[in-house]
Amino acid sequence: MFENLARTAARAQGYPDLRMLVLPHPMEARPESQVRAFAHERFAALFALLAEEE
Amino acid sequence: MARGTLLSERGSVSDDPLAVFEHVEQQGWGDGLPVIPPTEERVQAMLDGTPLPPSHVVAVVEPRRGEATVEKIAVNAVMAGCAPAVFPALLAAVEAVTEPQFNLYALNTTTCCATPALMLNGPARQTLGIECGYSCLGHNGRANATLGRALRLLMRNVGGSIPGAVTKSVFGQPGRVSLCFGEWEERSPWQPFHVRRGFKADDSTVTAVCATGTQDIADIWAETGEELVWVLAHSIDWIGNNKVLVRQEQGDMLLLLCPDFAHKIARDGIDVPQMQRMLLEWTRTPIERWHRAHWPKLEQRGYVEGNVVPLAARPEQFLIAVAGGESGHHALYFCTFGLTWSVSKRFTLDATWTGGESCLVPDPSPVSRRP
Repeated sequence: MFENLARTAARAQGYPDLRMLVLPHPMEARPESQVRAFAHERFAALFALLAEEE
Repeated sequence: MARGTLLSERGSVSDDPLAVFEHVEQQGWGDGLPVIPPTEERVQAMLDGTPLPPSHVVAVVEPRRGEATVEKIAVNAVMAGCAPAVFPALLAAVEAVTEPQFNLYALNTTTCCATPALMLNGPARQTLGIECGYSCLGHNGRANATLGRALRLLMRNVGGSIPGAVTKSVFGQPGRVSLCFGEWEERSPWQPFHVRRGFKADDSTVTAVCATGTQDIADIWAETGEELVWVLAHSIDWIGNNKVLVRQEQGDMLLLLCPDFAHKIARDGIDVPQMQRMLLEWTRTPIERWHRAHWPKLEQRGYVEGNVVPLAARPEQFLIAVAGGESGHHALYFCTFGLTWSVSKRFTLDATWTGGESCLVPDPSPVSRRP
């Protein structure tokens, strides 16, 4: 839901191609087990983003 | 007199007011209401209110980090319908909302309906025709309506506050079109708000304070000041208050009293600091008012003291001012979104003024950002 905002902010800060991992919103109301499951599921994608060549 | 070369891109549209209105809406520059076409002549007239050149950057407006140049502020002021005389007040308002403590990034992006409310103090109120009395918060007076609207248009067109795309406000609110008024200092039993903040009585100031809306508080039964403050306190301590979602020590909130209420409270010897202490004490809400399932969540965040959840940590977080009609019976609570502090700026209406001094709340907590 906040992806557009994140991209707007990245462009404004001079990083139009900033790599992003998009997570579901809202997070606060979810039980901790579900948040942990999200983290496990997305870890590989996050690692791939960080390891990506410029 | 031309104040300098304008750099904005020129566009051409028919003189028909409807054609202008439709063009502005198609471009996404408007708020759904008709605008005044920002012709070069009108923008130059606005610039007569400042010695600053059109290209001068007054502030950077979040979240797009757009540069609010004097020219861009003037363009939005013309569109909003401002008279040129109010331009210095608008410049001060832009300075106020872009202070880091105000946290405009959060206001422009949150799911909450928060918006800046502008309160004017000092002699500029009379000069500009700022309404302080009956219906001062809506449908009374060009200066109030257009000054607040110009700021909102600037937040949209320079700051990028585009509904849905960037601002995630679930509902928005009427105050996101315009929310501006003056304190009715002459009908207040206390020192004017800006004097209590350290300005001189003959200074003119604009104060930006966060408002998730204007909640009416009505009472016709209180016979004493203490009774009335009790009513006020227990009208602002509801559990769905956005302020409850942040730490108690964060943010300030405005309570606007009609003259009748203010005099009833003052008559019984209650001054502003005492009223603030009473509000602090009486907005400590018993945890039993929340569903039992919420208790551990409040406790985990450190929001619980004993068996109560305080709304604030210090008396000064309750801002008190006086405005509204003399028919009495009402106060307004400007609930805060929480992660923001009010900011006051001094301005003058002569064309030599180039910027205002800030008055920030003492020792504000660090402001964190959240969507």
